[in-house]
Amino acid sequence: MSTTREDLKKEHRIVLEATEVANLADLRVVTTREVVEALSAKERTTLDKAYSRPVKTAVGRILRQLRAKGLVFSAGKIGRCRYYGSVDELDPATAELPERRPRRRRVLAFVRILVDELGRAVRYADVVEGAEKRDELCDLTPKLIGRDLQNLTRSGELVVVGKVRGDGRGRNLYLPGELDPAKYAVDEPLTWLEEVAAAFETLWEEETAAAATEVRKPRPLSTGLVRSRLASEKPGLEQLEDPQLLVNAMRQLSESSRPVVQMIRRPNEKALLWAPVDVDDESLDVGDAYATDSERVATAVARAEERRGRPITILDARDEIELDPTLRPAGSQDLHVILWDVSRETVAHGDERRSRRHQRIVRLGRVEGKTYYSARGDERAVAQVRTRQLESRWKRLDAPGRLLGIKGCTLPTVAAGRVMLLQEELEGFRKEMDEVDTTGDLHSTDRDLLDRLAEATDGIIERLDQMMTELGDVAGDLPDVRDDTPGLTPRELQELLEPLYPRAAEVDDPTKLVPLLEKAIRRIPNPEHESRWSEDHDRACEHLFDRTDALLEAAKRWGGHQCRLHAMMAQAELGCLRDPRFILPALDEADYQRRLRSVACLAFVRSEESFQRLQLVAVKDPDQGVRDSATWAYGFSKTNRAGRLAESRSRSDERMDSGESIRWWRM
Amino acid sequence: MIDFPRNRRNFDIVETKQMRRVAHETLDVHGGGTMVVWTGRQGIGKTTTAQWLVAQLAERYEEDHPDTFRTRYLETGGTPARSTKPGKKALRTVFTKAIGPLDEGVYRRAEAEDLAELILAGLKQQNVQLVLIDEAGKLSVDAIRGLVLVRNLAHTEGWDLTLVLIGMDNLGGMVRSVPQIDRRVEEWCYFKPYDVAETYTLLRELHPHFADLDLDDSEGRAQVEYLHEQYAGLPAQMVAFLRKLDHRQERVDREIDMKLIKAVHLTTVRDRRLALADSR
Repeated sequence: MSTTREDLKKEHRIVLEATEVANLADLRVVTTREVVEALSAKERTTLDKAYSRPVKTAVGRILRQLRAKGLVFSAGKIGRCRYYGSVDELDPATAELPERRPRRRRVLAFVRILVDELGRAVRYADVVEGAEKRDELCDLTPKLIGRDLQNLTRSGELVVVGKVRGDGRGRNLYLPGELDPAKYAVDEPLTWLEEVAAAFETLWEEETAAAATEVRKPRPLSTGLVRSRLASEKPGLEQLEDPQLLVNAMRQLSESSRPVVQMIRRPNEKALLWAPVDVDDESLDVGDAYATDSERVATAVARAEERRGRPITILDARDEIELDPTLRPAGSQDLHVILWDVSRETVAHGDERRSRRHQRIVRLGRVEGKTYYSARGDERAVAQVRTRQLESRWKRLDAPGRLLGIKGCTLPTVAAGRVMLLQEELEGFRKEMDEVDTTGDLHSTDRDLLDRLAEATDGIIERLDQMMTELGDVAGDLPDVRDDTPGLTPRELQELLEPLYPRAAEVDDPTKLVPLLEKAIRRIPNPEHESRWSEDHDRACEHLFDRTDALLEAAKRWGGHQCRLHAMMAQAELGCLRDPRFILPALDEADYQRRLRSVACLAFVRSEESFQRLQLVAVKDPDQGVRDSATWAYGFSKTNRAGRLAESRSRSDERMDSGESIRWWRM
Repeated sequence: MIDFPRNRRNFDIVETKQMRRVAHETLDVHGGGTMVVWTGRQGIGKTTTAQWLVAQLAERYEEDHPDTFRTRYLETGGTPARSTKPGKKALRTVFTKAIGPLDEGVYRRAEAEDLAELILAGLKQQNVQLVLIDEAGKLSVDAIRGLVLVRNLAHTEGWDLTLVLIGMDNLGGMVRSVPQIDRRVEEWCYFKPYDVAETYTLLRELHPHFADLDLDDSEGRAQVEYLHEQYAGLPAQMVAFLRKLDHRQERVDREIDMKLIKAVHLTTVRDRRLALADSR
């Protein structure tokens, strides 16, 4: 029988309203506990006073009474909890109970999903990582998951079908009991130790095959070889960043309860070697004979190149020599001298030089200070080194960093200039990549690297195109960017820095400044470079110091407050841009901060027009701070004309602070 | 189906008596190297007041008027535990957020006093005379000492600079605990929670439902009192609640009444209670 709300006594009305609030909050039927939570403190006190029983019990009884009166309905129970809804808020015909499942069932269901997705049995770590990514499983903590996996194993719903070499994140491999283990076998390494063991096994198989072909005993493998193999097959593997981790892994593989490898130590040799645990010492080979050091070193290069599948450096050659002591040069010459000698294309013949008849090793070029050699010297080897050179150039180009810098640039015309400059450089880089790419016989690793570089380059070029579109009208009025960055030879840099940098005054040979400053000051190719042995020093150096960068660095290190403030502002805005035509338009911006920054830039990127514009700004800009900065910038860049400007400003502008500015002009 | 919230109401800053009081008290002491402390509970409107003050002064700034100046508002990231050189780090934050990028080499080579001088030079260059530093309660005492260096320099050089430290109740205790800092504070501004009448005024400005409400009507009054009680007169929490109320009203398509207000409040309270229970 239905009753109206007005007929209810106060406490019943309170509970009815709280039910409606809870229904409205959760948009579903609710339990007694949820109705109690919806009560305000005052309402709870009212019920507490009216009934001797606890509030929850009282509310439960009232809900039953309201249900009898037709004001509240029940959609059913889950467990012991009955769910209620107000007929005014929810439709009894369509209201449903919320979904609930026990946690263990959810874990089992999730394991099934994961096995299906991964196509193999799963570890504890797989389940934990998978659960973290799913909202509906966010209440499953790792501890609970572990407990449930064990319980499900005990009940037979999950079966342990194998074990992995642990990394502390679960050794067991689980599979739902109804599935066939053969179909869900794990066929790839799941842990770091397994990766290392797999790489060692593959290398040993190759070494055994090579030994059989060459009719000799197999040689134990160095840690370096395993590292090279892992690096080439799994580039970017985090654990390779710390060399000690691989050594530790090899030790673990030799010391575990199921050892895979044994350590081979040789007298007076530091390097550790490894062989499978089931191969005895008599079956291993450490001996052979060579006639000359050239032959030894050439053999070391050939073998190292064979193992690594790429041209090698002196370090790789040393690793190979450590592996086989018979390759160690018998004479007193350093290895790098022998390598250099063996790789020369010509040899001395009396007073002449003649082409070498048989060149065992070819020197292919340098990458980041390391020279690469090859015994093959074929197109593939050349391409491999060129690819590495491109990779190194890409790092130096720092295109992603420069892109980020452009985003932080507050002057639109300068940003446009920086975009145009980077676009040009990237287009040149792309052309070089295309040239290497046309080499037919590229190793897959190099192909991958080129593809990655191409993708990265194209992505940034696309982003730069978008930026230019966004810059719209600003970009339309600008000329083509000039890339003729003014440079300083080491001698000119020394002259600039001598009054400021004590070490610059101490060096007798300006080229000694290069290693001291090449990281702090950007270097650019010297357009007048002839040869490293040219008698004219200015034509001998391959690179110059970027003049603007040198001034910025000097200003930041040794300048006064104004100097440093302006240098930091200018550096943030300019990036690698050195064309003043992109800075001058910013002097007309409405925002004083932009005008201030453009003035700072012009102090370090100079031209006749910028001097004239700075003079005008120093007198006419509406903002005093900008006027003062322009005065300083003019003085910094044109010291001999600064005195007159300062005087004329002092007469007309009482607020000008000239002390700091004049001090910097005298620097 | 999940979708973006549509037809979002723009909760503009509502100017209140308290905001005007604090602004006047702060500007009245502006002079050569001043420190002011603003404190109050979280959500009471300190940040909103600071941002409002910056906007008000920016609107009135005139390039060639010697009495006008620029302002800066910034939030510190706090001082991490076991941080070395917290004073320098606090100065770096002020520099980067009030002036511009700070070169890492310049930062490493400079002592704290040098950095303070650099900051003062940068502020002078841009005629910035009021700097509001929010979340100052998260700074350590040493970090605040670093900021005091800037104030001292401004005082010595006669540059009219006011630093306003904004934080919750712990800020006052921290400042008071160090006499060298406490002595330099020239004004304390405390943000009081709103009473029912002020809550009603705020709600009326923020939401049309409450603008039409009559406090003489018992239902209307009950709604305002309920919200005042639940949100303790804290504007930030009331604004957040009003957003939720709007969204919920759209979803269930009904008029705003006491039941809906309670239902919306309940959803937050319940989840908060569960989260706290979980964390124990």
